[in-house]
Amino acid sequence: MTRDRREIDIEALLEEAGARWRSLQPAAPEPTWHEETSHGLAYLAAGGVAAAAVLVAIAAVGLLSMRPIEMGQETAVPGGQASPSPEDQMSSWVVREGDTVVASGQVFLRPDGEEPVLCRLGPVLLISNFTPQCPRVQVALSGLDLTTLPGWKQFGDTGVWLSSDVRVTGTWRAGKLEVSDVVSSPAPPYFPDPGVVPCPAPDTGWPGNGDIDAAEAATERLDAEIAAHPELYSGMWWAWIGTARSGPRAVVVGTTGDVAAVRSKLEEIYPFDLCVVEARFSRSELDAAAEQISGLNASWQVRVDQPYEKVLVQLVLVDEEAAKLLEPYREKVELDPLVTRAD
Amino acid sequence: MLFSERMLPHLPAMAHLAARLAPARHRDDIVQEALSRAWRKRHQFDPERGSLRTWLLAVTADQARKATRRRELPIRIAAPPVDSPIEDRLDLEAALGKLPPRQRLAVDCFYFVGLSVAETAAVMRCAEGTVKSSLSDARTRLRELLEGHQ
Repeated sequence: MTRDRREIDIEALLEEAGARWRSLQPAAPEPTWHEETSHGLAYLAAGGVAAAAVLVAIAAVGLLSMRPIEMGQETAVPGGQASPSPEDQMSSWVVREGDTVVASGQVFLRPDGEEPVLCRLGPVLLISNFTPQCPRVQVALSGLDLTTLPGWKQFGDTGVWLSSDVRVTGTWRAGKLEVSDVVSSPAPPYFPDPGVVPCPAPDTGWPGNGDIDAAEAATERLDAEIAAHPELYSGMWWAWIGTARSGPRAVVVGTTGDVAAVRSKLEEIYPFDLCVVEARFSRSELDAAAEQISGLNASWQVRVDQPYEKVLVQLVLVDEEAAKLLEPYREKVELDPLVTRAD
Repeated sequence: MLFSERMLPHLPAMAHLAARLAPARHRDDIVQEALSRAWRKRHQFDPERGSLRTWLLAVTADQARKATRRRELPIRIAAPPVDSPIEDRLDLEAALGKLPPRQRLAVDCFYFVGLSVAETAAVMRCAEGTVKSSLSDARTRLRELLEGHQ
């Protein structure tokens, strides 16, 4: 096809100018992921100058706490037993000296060469020279042959050595895990599937989610409404309408109020796919419990996240002392210990 | 792959777009805000409605617009390439500055940021055909403007 000579010139001029402009642009900034907030990931610029920012391991700064809990998901139970009721959950977790235990995560060796630890490092982004760190929920390992660890390699040129995701079995002794066996074990997805929406389809069918602008604006209004009334709502999250994981999703809102009344109110704010469910605790109650639990032990990581039913407490393991401290909160607590009994 | 990891390959395009749509000194702030926003809104990303790259570019463009509005800044005119003849730079820069906003946005996205027509459409929130016609109109207008200077 013959093209207009002058248009070719204009196009060539633009393409050349564009290529030249791109070549003069500084390198893209590297993001710094930091501690999550109740709203998700907070992004920190180092003094507002991203050129100084570095890409870090999300979990290295405690972002393991981002991992959401599945709707209706029960915390794993030692030894694969049936899920305990809240009343006996606490005692079922307790690890005592000499118990055979298991823990899953990555083995981590600091540059100073101290003993290796195991932690759930989460998504480490291997594109920078940032020195990763384990989150504070970590367990010291003894008796480990590092050379046989799956995926054992240095993280860039940082001096930190990491394994791939493994499951470690051993004995709990003197505050350490004496390793007897290590096997590769895929980590669970960092962002678990949110599950199927816990509401039946409306009689008239799901209304859909409109165009992206309208949906986003409505979502922001809904977010603001829920944030403004933590005594009435537990939180909001997304769930799949059907079983397909690429299909439409609905917003789910938990409330301690009258579900029908709340739904009517929220449908005016969010006239799209919406599911309102009864919540046992309000966000105010959960946040208050989380704050109190955080104050009990500085090494715990405590958060409230979807489906906003309980306070998730991540800790190295549940010993007698932890069980005693957490006992008053057992109805509001979901435990996620790094080390659990194997039997 | 994790969502945060999936965003990383698109950082250069996001940075270029931010730099093109707003003053360069705000580029990194805009990219940061776009990443943070994308992460928070990750549940809204629907792969059936477009690629992650396209979605991230649209989020970046929104953040650039917000930053420009918030700071009451005019849409930035691209800095002239330093190694091109000064007359060409001035002519092209001046001509770009005279394009209607939508045509200018299409040119910025397609020629300068290097986006595809589909990605440009996502940023402009319009159909691909509209992008093509905007680019065609822009080229026609630029030709008129540049020829008028010759």
